[in-house]
Amino acid sequence: MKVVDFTVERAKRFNLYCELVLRGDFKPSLPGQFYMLKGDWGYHPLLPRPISVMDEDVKDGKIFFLIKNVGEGSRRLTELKRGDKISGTGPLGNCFPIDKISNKDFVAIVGGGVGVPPLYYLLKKLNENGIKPHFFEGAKTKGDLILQGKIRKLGCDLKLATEDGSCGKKGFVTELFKWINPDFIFACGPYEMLKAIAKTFDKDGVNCYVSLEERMACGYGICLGCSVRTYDERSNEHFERVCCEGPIFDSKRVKWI
Amino acid sequence: MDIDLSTEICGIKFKNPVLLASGCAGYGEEFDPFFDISIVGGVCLKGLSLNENEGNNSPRIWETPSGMINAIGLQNIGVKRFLKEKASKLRKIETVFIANFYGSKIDDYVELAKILNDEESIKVLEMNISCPNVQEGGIQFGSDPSLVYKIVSSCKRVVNKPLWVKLTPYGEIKKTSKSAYEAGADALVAINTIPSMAIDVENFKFRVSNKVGGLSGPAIHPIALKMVYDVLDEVPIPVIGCGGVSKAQDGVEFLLIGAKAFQVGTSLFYNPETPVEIIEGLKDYLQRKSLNSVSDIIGKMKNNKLGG
Repeated sequence: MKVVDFTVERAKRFNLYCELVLRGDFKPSLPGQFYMLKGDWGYHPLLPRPISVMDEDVKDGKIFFLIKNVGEGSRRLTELKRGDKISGTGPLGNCFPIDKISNKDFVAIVGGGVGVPPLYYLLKKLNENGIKPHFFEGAKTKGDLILQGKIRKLGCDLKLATEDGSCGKKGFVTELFKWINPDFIFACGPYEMLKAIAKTFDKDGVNCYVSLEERMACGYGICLGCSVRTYDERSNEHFERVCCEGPIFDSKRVKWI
Repeated sequence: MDIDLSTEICGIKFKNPVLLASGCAGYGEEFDPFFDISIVGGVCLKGLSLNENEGNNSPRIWETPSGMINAIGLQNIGVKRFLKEKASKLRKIETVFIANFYGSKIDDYVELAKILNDEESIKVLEMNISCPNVQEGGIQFGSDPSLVYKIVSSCKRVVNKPLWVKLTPYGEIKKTSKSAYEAGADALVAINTIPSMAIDVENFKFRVSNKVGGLSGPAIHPIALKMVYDVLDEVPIPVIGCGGVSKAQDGVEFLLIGAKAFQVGTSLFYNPETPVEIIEGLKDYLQRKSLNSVSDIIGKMKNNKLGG
């Protein structure tokens, strides 16, 4: 990890989202890793925001993020323009354990809302390893679904669900895959979605990994602001930092609240 | 022109007045990816207790205008693990390590002071009697002048290394600083975070699980500066400024008012390279003012009666 001075190469806005293409001298990241991003707007908002990598082109010096405007910090990020300077500390955190997977495994990827971008990067990396996962995406309405085109372009089987039924199956994304029996599940999205997935697949033989989100100040392990309760091998409870020991956790190790 | 950034506090020489504040610098190793930690004057290590403390439940932090509230709850690995796993690594690093410690009763403080006084890698002890977000100890000790006297004098008896006392802005800081001085504190650190609160009005919930947290960041810098000014007015011992330093200019303010050094905390979170920038900024400042040492600016405002 290091602090990278990025320049905004492109900022493409749609609905509440903004796809940022940043140029800079950065280190390659693994799927699931993130950056702490902060523009040069001074002391408010004070803290950088943790944003997962959606894609990168190391040779060309370009890295991609998809940001949703959900508050003051993310709003400022979605309002960046071409040529703006932005600092990014990263890549941070652990990654989805893709090395454990063989091409015989049934792999499911489940994304909800703004949880989808890091999963797109995961999908790309799995494809490079010859693995063809099944992708399940959920959102509130049709307009909230993101990256379907990019996911399908990779030749991936994508199934959709919306809470209002405006696209795909009506209901939560979990309705799409209750019947499956995967070897691996990788999920990123709202807490309640991750919790429901963890509950559904809390059985032997299923390796379920979730990407957790917490408020964090530093992103590199010193503020201890992002600690969550987990279980160790002996089922003892303790705190782990989402920024360092996570953001990817074995769902069986998370103490769901 | 050679610029001398060094400063001396209680007989200990610091290569520059830039210290990393406790709780914002871990145990010294977390900055390795960003800069060589030996460039800073000193590092106040994460507050240690006798036993491991897992801290408060989440949410632990909340951002505020130009600041943040934290209620980590002094999570730490405990002094035993610190000595076993971390201390030996510190011996090889050429900066001053300051052990911050706290307890829930006076005996804990005394026990910790003894243990840390014997550790070779530790050159200074910093008593934390000012944490706003723990149930016991912390701010209750730090805001009561008679308790401050009792706890500081008890620790002072068992140590021979410099004993710094980190003060809370809560209560009357002139009185608590005087008590700490009279009890034998070798230097004072002002200020710890400011007790604070924030509420999620949509969901009727406190923003941090502990309800109360400590406010830090640029928002508190002017308050901290005034408190250092007040403390210096009250006691003849060295004072170290702490609160909202995010650039060289903020640190210079502390020095001009009379602090011997200053601590950098929250800004490390949003910019881990802050210390590098501050040290460079200090040099630039002195050069611009045609001064060649930090001691030229320490206390320069003392006799300055002029307003802005």
